[in-house]
Amino acid sequence: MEINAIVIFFAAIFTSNILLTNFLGMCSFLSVSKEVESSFGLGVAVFFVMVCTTAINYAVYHLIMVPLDIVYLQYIIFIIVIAAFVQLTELFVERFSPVLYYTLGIFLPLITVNCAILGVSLFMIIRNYSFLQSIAYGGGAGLGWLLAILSLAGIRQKLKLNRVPAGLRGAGITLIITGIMALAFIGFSGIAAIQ
Amino acid sequence: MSRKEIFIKSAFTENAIWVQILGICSALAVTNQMKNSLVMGLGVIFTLALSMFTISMIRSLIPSRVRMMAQTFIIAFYVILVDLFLKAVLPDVSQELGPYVGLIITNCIIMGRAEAFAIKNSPLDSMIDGIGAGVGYTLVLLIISFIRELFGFGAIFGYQVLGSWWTRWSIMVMAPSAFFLLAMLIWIVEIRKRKKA
Amino acid sequence: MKEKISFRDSRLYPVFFMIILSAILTFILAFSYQLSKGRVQMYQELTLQTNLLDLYKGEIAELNNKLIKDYTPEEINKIYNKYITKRTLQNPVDHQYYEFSQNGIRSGYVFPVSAKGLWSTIKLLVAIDPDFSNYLGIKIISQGETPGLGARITEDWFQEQFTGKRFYLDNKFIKLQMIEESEDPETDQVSQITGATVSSKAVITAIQDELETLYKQNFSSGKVN
Repeated sequence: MEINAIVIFFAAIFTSNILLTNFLGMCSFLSVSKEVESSFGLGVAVFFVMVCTTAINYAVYHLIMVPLDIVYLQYIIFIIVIAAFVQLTELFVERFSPVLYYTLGIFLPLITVNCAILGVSLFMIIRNYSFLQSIAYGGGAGLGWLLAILSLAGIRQKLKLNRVPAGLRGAGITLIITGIMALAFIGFSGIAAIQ
Repeated sequence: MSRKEIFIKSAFTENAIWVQILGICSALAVTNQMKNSLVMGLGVIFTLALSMFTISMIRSLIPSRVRMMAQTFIIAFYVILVDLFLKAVLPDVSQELGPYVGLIITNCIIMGRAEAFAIKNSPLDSMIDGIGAGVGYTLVLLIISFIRELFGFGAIFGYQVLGSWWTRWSIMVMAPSAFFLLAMLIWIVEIRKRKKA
Repeated sequence: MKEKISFRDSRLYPVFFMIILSAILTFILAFSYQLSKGRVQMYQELTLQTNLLDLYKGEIAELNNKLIKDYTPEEINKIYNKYITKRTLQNPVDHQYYEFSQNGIRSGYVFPVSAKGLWSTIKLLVAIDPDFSNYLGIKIISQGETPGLGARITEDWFQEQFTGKRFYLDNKFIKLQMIEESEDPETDQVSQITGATVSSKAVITAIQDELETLYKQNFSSGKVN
């Protein structure tokens, strides 16, 4: 009974959201979510990098690391893959689409240290996913992250007009909102008996 | 600045989590039990101390073009050592922490301290700064996990403190509680800061 | 005359530096890895032995003195060797299983079973009595399901509910009926976990299906080996 890749995809967005359930990708999440536009840009960039690096890391793990018994080096190797990929993407985007580079390019260095990207690769290995499942998981996790940061940005935008207690302004209220969102997402666990 | 001052600064006045809001990812993930928090905290202290020391020692040798890469490499090196150690000596904890040990590498605290301090200061001072940041981080983790474990499991460090009459607060076992508790903590710290000012 | 650039400032230096750094660090790591390998394997073996013994702890007199985790590895190993034998099946080839014997009499089998959970492959051990009529118990060894939901399959009540359930009777395989967590299971019924139907279903189904397959391929034509 193989778990359907589509189920994994939807579960990664809702019931096991990489950010709201697994707490990954918080740093940039907290700082960039002030603006809806930049949140969207960062979210899309994260999604793109996540899907691609998950695929590449899958190949590197199964085709290189396992046969050579260097699995214990996976942290270093995955990070290098991610950093290299982001660097290449940045060069590529800068060369071929200055417009895209202007809107998206600035986020790319931020992504290299985004724990969610590394986390997704690590989880994929621990859970022993097939290639198709890994892609589904990477894509779902990216979309889930995008959804979370977009929602948060939208809420924070509205909050600008409200009076937040002085001690909570900034990080405090953001964390509380995120917590409430996490609670709300738990409500998704009834979706078509996903979990 | 004396060594003591460096330590106090990085552990408390400029605490990584509640002041600088860094390193939140793993801070929230491992706080479901105090044991996990302690081990994670010790892992971070170890990694921070030695990474800071190493980076500072060879800071004059590191070419600026590959600075970030070299730092990441050194940090990853120590994290892997921690991981190997856990797998061999504390395997059940290693299982519980899972990939979060590897995520110490992307923990913004370490990279942040390396860039801000280790590149410019002596190895011993850098190590003290690293230990301080790690201790401050561990402290926050322990506070949050104390509450989560106590109300979620009725236990402290695995020892049942509250008997079966206590209805467990399942929310404490799940993700959202970590967000709320951290927000509360930041709030308390902010209020105290303003009172002093 | 062209001014000589120091090696430090040359283009080659960063490459050179990174190569040296990587070489040193990787060498130390490889060394540490080899050192720890032995211990990790020992630990895995110990865990397996402990889990197998745990399934039969009611019947092993030596295990009643203290909690199973308080026994030293040597003690566990000794008790393990006394009661458990590792064997392999013909079909599928080299599939491992374990026999529990007391005083030379075979008192049970243990089969490793894998279930595809939502997030992970759930590995468990299933203990069954020698004529396959009743389950003796199950033990989840590893899983990576959602904490608080699917991960609840490791809770004692979920695993213990299998003890005594019927498996094979009158040449028929019993299909256990899955009911809600809130209801009390009767004969031939087991409870799922609320909100974690994929994980619990995966376990319950995998146990029955795999055991049925293994039985048909190896044990049905009389005693094996």
